Amino acid sequence: MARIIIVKSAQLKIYLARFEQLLAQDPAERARLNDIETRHEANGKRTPPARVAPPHQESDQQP
Amino acid sequence: MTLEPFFALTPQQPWYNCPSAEESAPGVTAFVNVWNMSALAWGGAGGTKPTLETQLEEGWVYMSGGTAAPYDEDTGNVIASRERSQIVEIGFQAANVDARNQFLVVIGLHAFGEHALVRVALYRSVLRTDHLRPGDNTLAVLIDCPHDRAWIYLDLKHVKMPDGKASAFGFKGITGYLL
Repeated sequence: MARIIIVKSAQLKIYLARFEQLLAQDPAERARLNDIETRHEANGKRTPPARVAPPHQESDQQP
Repeated sequence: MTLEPFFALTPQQPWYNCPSAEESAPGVTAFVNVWNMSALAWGGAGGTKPTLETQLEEGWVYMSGGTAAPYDEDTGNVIASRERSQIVEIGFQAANVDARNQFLVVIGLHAFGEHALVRVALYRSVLRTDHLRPGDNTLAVLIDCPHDRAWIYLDLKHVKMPDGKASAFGFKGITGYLL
């Protein structure tokens, strides 16, 4: 059975406003998303690579 | 009633573009982007499983338990440290839709242990952190459509349990439906 998360429009507007604030503080991320949106709206090309930093430190914990 | 998928994404088909067939018919553009996956740590001479070959053949990507993010790093319910986390980033944009529509997004994950947690976020805001059962899991997100041609961004972030334990899981795919 699937676990369902429901997002109604009132909550969605809050998330969107917060997202715009986050992007306003992070021009590089805004540019990355703009690039994705432009590429896909053009003709569905592949996404550009993600911005990356060193990953969370690997521990000795394995599955 | 059977719903026809609006879009489907897998690691083998990470983007999808279906323009409107007619002027007023819905169309969709969608992509999935995977960050910081640890697949290269698996398989090879060490004999660990699942191997890269398995992942390629079965069409999913592996998120290592060892590099899951700390449980409590997303303060204020906003996804933090994205660029160094194991993240499945999903984006889609529908055309010729309006606020009366909804999107149902169904996500397939496969947990490899008892301690796999996935944090689901919409526009970087945390919706929920789910404890996955070992084996196949299905998560669904029902989202009201903001407006025509709005881009919607979902993140699936791999996090540890509050006590620091973590299990790996695999991302298998996502299917979107227009309601």
